[in-house]
Amino acid sequence: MRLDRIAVRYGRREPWVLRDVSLELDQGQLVRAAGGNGGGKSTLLRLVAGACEPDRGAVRERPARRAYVPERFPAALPFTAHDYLCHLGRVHGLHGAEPARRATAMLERLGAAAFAGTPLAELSKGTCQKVAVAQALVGDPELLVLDEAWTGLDQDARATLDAAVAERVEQGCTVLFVDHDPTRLAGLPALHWQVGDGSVTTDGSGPGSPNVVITVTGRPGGAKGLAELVGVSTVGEPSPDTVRLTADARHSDEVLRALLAEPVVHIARVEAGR
Amino acid sequence: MSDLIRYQLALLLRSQRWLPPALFFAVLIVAGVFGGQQYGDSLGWCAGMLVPGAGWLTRTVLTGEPAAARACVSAAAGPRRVQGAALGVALGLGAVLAAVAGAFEWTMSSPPPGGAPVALAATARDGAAAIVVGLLVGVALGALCAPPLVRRPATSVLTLAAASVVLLVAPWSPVNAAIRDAASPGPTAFPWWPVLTALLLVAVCGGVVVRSAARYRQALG
Repeated sequence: MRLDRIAVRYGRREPWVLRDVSLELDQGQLVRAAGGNGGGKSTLLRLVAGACEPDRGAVRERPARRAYVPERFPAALPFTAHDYLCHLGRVHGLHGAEPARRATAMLERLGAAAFAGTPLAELSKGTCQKVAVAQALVGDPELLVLDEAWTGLDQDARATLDAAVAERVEQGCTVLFVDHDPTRLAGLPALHWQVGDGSVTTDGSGPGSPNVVITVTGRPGGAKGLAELVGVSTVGEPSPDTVRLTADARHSDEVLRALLAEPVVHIARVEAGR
Repeated sequence: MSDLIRYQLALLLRSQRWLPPALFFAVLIVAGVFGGQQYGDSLGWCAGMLVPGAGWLTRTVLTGEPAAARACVSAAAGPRRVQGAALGVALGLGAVLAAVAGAFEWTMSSPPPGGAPVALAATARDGAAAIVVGLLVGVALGALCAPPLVRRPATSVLTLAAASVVLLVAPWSPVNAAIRDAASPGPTAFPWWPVLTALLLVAVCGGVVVRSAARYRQALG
């Protein structure tokens, strides 16, 4: 899908939040959007998801099955968690007994099965957010947009969402996300969108430049300072004492040399990214 | 589309937000009963009260969903279809109110005095036409007086009230014309002009509201 010279503002006299933005999104691409508060990240996410349309320009070839998770999900809906997911499952195109079955499965997977029959208004903030995540995953989306969806989730649910995103990407789903945690989904090769001043710049591992994923153990200080190395796009710590970083293939030699120059560091694995 | 209508209908009925406009309309209908009215007058009253009644109901349906929840559904189904479904629910529920109120008015009324055998069928036809006009104009007005076109609740409610009064008293208004036709004692032709104008009005306003739904980007939270 692509964004074709889109522009957005919130009123005739307001400044442009996004201006003349053209972007491409490939199938199965994971994209991380970053930028300051009020810089237009959320607006861009909602435009990509199809929740709204731009004032100028157009979003073309959006996949048919789309899902969006807002940062804060409202409790002011008069449904139980299960009923809401059934409704949304049907809106996502499921039929018959399928919505109810998948709603139950999804709540179980996120560790909220006990709250299936609880009205949304009585749920805790975290459980409400699980319902928001569940509604997005229930219909096997081809495009998944996550606006700080991890915020408010407990540790297990975060890991579940990480795994679910990896699964979806594996199956060719395009995923666009924003998260405050810089190590979020760092194990997966991702494209970076920097949003600010009305424009979006793309950097990191574009589809044209191959990546190398390097796994390192034994480094004192963990991931500290690695993100500053030239060519490194993502840095994460998937488990204690293990650092995984994604580097542009053109710079991978320098990155490896820099890592090996530290005497206690072991290179556990070097593999080709996507 | 049926799944969206089902969702919007469940959202409205379970939230009980439909109660205030429905009660308001019921009070207006009951307040109009003072015994011994003629069929045409009662049905005309019902048609007139549908303008603010269906208007408020439509506004309630269109504002019933929190912004973040609306964004989730809009991403899945497209904001225009979501808005269209909400309008459909408003029209359907308004039609139910109109039918119940029309039947109530009919049972509470009597034929004109003098015993002239006026065609009750013609009176019922003109009354029903007036009720349809009142319903359509009310829904069109309510759709215009809701976000995204009018965003502030106070402005929206005041506009709805003022426009209802104008539409009831202005001689050029289709509601006014349809009520006059329904109440006139003599034989009349079918009120084509008000009915067609009301249909056009609801189609144009509905189209504008559905189209603008895609451009409506409210702050989430």
